[in-house]
Amino acid sequence: MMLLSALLSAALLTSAPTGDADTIHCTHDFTAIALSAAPVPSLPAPLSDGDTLAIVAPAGECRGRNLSHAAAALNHQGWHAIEGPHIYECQGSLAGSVSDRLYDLRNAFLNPSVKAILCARGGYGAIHLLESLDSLPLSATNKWLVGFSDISALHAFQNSRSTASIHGPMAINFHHPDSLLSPSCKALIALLKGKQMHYSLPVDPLNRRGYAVAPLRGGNLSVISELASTPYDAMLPGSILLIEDVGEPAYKIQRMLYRLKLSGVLSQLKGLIVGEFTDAPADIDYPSIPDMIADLVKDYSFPVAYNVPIGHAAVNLPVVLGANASLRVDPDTGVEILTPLP
Amino acid sequence: MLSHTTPFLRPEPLQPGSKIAIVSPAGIARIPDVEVAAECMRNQGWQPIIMPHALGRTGSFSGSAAERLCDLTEALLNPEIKAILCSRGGYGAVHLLDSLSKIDLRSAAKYLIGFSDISALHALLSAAGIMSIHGPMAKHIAVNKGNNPEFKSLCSLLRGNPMHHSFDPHPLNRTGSATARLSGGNLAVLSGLVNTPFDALRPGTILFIEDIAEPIYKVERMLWQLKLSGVLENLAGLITGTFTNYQPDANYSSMEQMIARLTDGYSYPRAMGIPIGHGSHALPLLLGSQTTLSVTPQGVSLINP
Repeated sequence: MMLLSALLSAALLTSAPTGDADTIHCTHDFTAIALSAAPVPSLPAPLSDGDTLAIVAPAGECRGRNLSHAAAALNHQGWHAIEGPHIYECQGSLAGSVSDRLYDLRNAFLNPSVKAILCARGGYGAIHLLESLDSLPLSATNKWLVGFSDISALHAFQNSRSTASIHGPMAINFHHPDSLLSPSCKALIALLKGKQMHYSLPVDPLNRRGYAVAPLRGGNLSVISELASTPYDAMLPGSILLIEDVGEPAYKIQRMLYRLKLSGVLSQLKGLIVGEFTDAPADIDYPSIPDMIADLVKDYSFPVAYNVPIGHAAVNLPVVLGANASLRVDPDTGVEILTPLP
Repeated sequence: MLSHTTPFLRPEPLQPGSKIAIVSPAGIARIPDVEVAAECMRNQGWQPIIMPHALGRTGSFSGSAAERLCDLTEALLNPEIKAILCSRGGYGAVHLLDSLSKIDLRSAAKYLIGFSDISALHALLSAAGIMSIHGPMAKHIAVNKGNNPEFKSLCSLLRGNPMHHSFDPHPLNRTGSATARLSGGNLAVLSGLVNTPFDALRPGTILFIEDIAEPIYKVERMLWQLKLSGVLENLAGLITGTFTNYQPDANYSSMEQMIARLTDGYSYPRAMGIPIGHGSHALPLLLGSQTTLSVTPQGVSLINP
């Protein structure tokens, strides 16, 4: 309880609170507190009672996936969840043709009553839609878009047009009733309501101390790496970069980070959040992917937090990309992340 | 960055007695392969020099980055060494690029030979405006003790003869002719250098691509990067080599089918299924040379006069 108060006081000093805080999770592994904060004008509007959210499938196919839990959980919040007409279409591994997937996403953007878009799942295929989305006016795309993994391509799209978006759990990650809702999904709901999330994580021996406030960018490393040199490049100097991946061996992760190093961007980051790197085969050159990354960034001085529970694992803490975040890494007290910040 | 019209430096042809360094910039070399390849070089009247760390091992690499850098720096700078044969690919050449880019690569320019992970070194040389040879390494040269088309074609190129290849037609080819600078290599390796000073995936070139053990969707994603950046549309020509160790997926029955679909909207000549890449085919390509790609219903020719 003392620790919580201390954390809250620290958080209140850096945010612009209007009063209450909700504890979403508090155990030794991580703490997630939703703080009420003054609305940030440049962010998409928070959801209010009765607002509509669209569930769309821009990438992998969803046949046989139970997406009803997500709709039920969102409706339980007083919102109105609708499914895009093509979300159960199937073309090979994709949730329909390019035009099917584009239709649902464009409609969700263009429909003024839709206030947020929750992606059903990742997989592969979001990249097919980016160029066609270019023609949408900024006023249409200025709403919350939620997802991760392959959906990192859509975050890159949104962020490239100065619109913040939420890297977090998707429709397939929801459970219902409310008692089964994970801390990650509860935190997502808090962010959609306009709250600020304050995460406290334990010490990791590889962490590098420091403090940064900067735009948070990134997501799935394989996906965002393939957007380098395109108009949707998310790996920008001066940002706090978030990276996670699944099923990639250490040498491929290293190759992607070498690209970042050789392009000059790695040395100009303000911070690095190393999320989950799951299902990586054992490697004879490095004990772990975090060890390999630590070696690669050893010549720089920005704060680095390792093993942050974001990515393809049981816990996937939602964060706001394309908006400022703060990252504080302390060798004694651990890691604090505040997202979003004005 | 050099434009696609800047003429590249062509290394001097090999003479009797020319020294050829054998290096291992990435993975661990198989000693018998290196020894047989060295013998093949001697039989051609050249003098192979196995560099000090070429036969070492450190984890999955032939040596530490410092050791590999030491051998390659010496081989690149020493004017007595007239060609550099890489023993094999693997992974790790990328570790050397930043340091190698700071040395004088042009004064004693020489042919560097290899492919797969060695595409990273081809990218380095391309950035410096020097031609290099995407071609057989120790294990390919060693097949049948040098009595194979890859090695014979390599020797011809090293002696300064023109490059001239002919290939069978492929149903997904697109006819046409183009003369432009030849570039490319392993797509995963080259994708890993996009937006760096060693970016070899440039518009206006005839691009050759091959890969191994990459699923169709990952190769598609790499090509989407080129599409979204405008490079894919503005190539002078496209040559797809062998894509090995992958499975048909729910969307495409073959890599070629996917690549054809992605490039159908363009008009430059497209030659598919060219037998160059992993496996036993490593016919040499003179990267950086002004090359004429000609695709007709009868077949494909690739000529650098």
